[in-house]
Amino acid sequence: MDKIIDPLICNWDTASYLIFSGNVFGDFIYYSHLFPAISVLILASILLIQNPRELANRSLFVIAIIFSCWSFIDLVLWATERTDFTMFFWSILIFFDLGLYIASFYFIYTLLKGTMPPWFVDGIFFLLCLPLFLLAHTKLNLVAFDFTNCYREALEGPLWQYYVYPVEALIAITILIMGLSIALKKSTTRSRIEATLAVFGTFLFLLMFSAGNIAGSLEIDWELGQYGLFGMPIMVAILSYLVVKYQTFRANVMSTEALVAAIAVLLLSLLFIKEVVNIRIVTGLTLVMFLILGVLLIRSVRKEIIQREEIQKLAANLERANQRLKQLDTLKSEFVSIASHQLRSPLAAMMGYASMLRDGSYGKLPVKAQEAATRIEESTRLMAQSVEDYLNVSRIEAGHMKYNLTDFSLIEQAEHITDDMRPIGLKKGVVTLFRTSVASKGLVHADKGKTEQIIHNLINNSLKYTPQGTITVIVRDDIQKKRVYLDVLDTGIGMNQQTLHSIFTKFERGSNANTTNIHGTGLGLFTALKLAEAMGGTITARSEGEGKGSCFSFELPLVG
Amino acid sequence: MGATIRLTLVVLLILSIGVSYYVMVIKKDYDIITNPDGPITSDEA
Repeated sequence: MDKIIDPLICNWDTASYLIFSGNVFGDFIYYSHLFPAISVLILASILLIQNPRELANRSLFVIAIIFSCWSFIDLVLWATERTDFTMFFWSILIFFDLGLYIASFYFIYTLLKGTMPPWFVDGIFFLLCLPLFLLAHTKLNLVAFDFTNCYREALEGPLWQYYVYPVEALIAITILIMGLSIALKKSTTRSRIEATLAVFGTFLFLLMFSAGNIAGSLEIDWELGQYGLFGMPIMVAILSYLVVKYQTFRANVMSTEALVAAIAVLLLSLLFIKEVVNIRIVTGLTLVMFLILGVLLIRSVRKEIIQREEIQKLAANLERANQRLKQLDTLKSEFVSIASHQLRSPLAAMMGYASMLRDGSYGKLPVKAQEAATRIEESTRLMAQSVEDYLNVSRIEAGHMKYNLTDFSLIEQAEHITDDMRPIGLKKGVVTLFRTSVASKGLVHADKGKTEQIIHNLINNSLKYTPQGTITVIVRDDIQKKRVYLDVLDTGIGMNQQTLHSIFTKFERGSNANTTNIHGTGLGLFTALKLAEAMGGTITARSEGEGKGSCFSFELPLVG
Repeated sequence: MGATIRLTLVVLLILSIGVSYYVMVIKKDYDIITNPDGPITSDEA
């Protein structure tokens, strides 16, 4: 017979926009299709916008798209008067039907595990879908268009009854078992409840969806199928509850927006009620949903207000504590600065007088008295050096250190300082050598006094930690990088990795410093690094380990 | 690997929908079963 059936035979109405026609005779068809689809689309869109990188949000959005497509296709089947459209849309419905279960599996997996499933899971789903791709257009999917009555129906083939429905049941059971087993392994009660609710909500939706479809298929009464769609708003309500209560999906600021949107959808869907007789049932459902969502909304608003007040209190306390800390820090710096200044003058006087006593400016002293005067002078010098270190740190931290930048040769300065310090090393049996390996004149633009202090600190540091052996000062340059380097290599006690990482920290000293009775404040390298950085350079340290010596490299930008 | 499989799945889905459209809408290659005297309309039922 002719494939184009005259709609006048059965008095079929012509559908407009594919889904609107008088052929739709069920009580809640538009309500049951549009309300669940719009509600899940709104929830999934809000979650995706809030956190697009979250895999669970993406999976839920895929569910929303597939479910909306399914609902739209089903509405077309209800409304259309064309047999070819009925056959086409019914034949592709099979993809969205199975797709909904597969997407639900990904949703639960990504929500509970935070990652995508391993690739073989994708492979299994691919193989499960393959028969649909190959057979969707054949009679195994749809046997024929049934024109024995005027119901505009296709007869579903074995692909539905013997393949899709069992596979869907299998996936739903897998979701339940896998989801609950992961949920029960969660470490906290809160996360266990959160995961269990998500699994339960998803499974309930799939169960209702399946039950509706299978009942419709067996009874050939497709009005039964629409009740299965109400599983989606229940799932949406459970997911909304999770968002509000547990901040699931890492969306903690959208609760009110989501709930208001859900209520708006409920009210909007009332416009699609076809008959006044149904208004009581639909209004009853809407009222129940409104009450549930309203309670959640009030709770979430109250919770957010309390949290905001607590945050404001904490912020105020933090601000006060911060101000107090700043005051204390300023006071500390001022105290150190004043105390150090006050100490410096008497120390200079003590050193001067001790030196004069030792040299006999006040008459010749006995030998023992000369030794005592020498001890006084040396101890005072060390103390003056410590005071100078504290003063420098105080100035650096307060940002009061002044730099007088000029051009000078680092080679000459380094050689001069090495010569000056060589006798100190010789007294304990350490030979100090000076070498150069430069292609330029070694000119730098820096503060001469500060540079001298850095070099002095580095050589002095090596002298302290080298009981015997050699210290080699090498000046080298790198014309390409426009840098000049001063290396201080020693054959001293060396450093382990832990010491290397903390050697430039304030008050930090070598791990053997205390056991080997080495005098120092632990500020020398800290001060040297800060001064070098302020002049555009830096200092690095390396050592092959304890007992294997150390090397400190001081670098500055090369001029010219 | 997983992403490639999922992409292939989407491509096959689109192709398969295209084939269904060709078979059902363009070629109209499906059977229609009815009564010898035509369908039972609601008036008759």
